[in-house]
Amino acid sequence: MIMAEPASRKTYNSPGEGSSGPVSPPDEESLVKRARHGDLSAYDDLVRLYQERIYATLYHMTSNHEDANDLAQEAFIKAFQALKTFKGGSSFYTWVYRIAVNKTINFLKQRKNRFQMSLNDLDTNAENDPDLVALISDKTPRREVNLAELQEKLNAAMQKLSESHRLVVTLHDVQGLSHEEIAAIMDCNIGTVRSRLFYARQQLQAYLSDYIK
Amino acid sequence: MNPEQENFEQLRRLLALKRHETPPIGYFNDFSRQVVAKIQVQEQKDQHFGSGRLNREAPWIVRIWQLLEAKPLLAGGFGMLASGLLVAGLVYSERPDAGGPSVAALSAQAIQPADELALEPDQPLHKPLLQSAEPEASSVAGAAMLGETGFLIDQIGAPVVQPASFFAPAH
Repeated sequence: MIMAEPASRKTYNSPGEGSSGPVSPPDEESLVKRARHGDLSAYDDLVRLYQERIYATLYHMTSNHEDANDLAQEAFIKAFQALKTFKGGSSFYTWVYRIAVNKTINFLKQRKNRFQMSLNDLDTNAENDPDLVALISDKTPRREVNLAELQEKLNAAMQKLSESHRLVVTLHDVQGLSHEEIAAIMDCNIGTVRSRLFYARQQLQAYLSDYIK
Repeated sequence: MNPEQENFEQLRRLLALKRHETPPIGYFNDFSRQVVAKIQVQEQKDQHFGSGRLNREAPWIVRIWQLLEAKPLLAGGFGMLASGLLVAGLVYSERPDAGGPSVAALSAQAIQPADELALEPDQPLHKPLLQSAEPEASSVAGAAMLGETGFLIDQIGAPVVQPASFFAPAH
C-alpha cells in the first residue's frame, strides 16, 4: 500500500542544501523495507539521499568538519542497527535526523571544554550571493570585513548559543525547515520551537551587533 | 515590518552565509560507502562475539539493551531499581523476624551446648547424649531396656548358637 505523501516532505530540500532531489514515499518506504531485512545496498541508497542534509546540520551544530563527519557516520550506523525498532510513525528522514541530533547534543555536552573550530571553506557562490553582497556593502558598519572573517564571527556566535537554540536556528534559518518539521525532530511542540527561535535570534543579534546594525 | 523584525531579517541574511560553507569537493562521493563498510565490520564483530546469534534467538534482550542504551535516564532508573532490590533482599534476610532462621540464629544454636557448660560448672564435663529416666543405671541397662521393648532385636531375630572347633580337619 502506498502511503499519502506527508506535508512535511515538500520542504525537505531547502535552497542551497544538498543536491539530492525529493524522494517519493514509495521509494523511501521500499528502501527502508529492504534495509530492514539487511539489504545494505538499499541502505546505501538511503544514506546517499540524506547524507548532505544530515552532515550539514551536524556541521552547523559543531562548527567542526571532522566532528560532523564522525557524528554523521555514527548516526547512520546507529540508525541501521536500530532499523528494526523503526515503527514508521514518522518518516525515516525525521527518525534518522532525530538520532543524529540527539547524538550530536550528547557529544556537544561532553566536548564543552575542548572546543575547536574547523570550518569548511566557503563555496564560490558566496561572493555573488545577493543577500551577502548587500549585507557587506550597505548594512555592515565594518565595511572592510571580508566573508572569511564574517564566517568566523558567525560561527563563534553560534557556538555561544545553547545546543537547543543553536539547533533551532540551524534547522530553520540555515536549512529552511518548517516549524512543524523542527518540532517533530526535536520532539517538542511548535510553540516551543517558535519561542526558542525568537530567543536564539535575539542572542545572535546581540553577539553580532557590529555586523548587522 | 517593525525594526525588530527587520533586524532579524538582517540576521537571517547573515546566516545565509552558512549555507555556503561546504565540505571539500567529492567528500560525499565516498561517504555512504564508508558507512556501509563500517556497518559490515560491525556485523562481523557481532557475529564473532555472538551478539548476532543473540539478536536472532532472543531479540527482546537486544531490544531492551537498545532501549537502555538510547535512554540514559531509563538505564539509570533500571540500575537503581536493581540495586534497591539487592539491598532490600540483604536487609530482609538479616531481620530476626524474617520467615526462616537467619544465619546468625543458626550459628547461635550450634554453639548453645558450650554456653550451657560454661554456665553450669558443677556438672560433669561430659554430658550424656541420651538422658535416661534412671540416672544411676548401669552401662547395660540401656541394652536391657532395648531388649524389653524389642525394638530392634525382634526384627533381627534370636541368635543361633553353633559349636566351634579350633582343630583343623584330618585328611
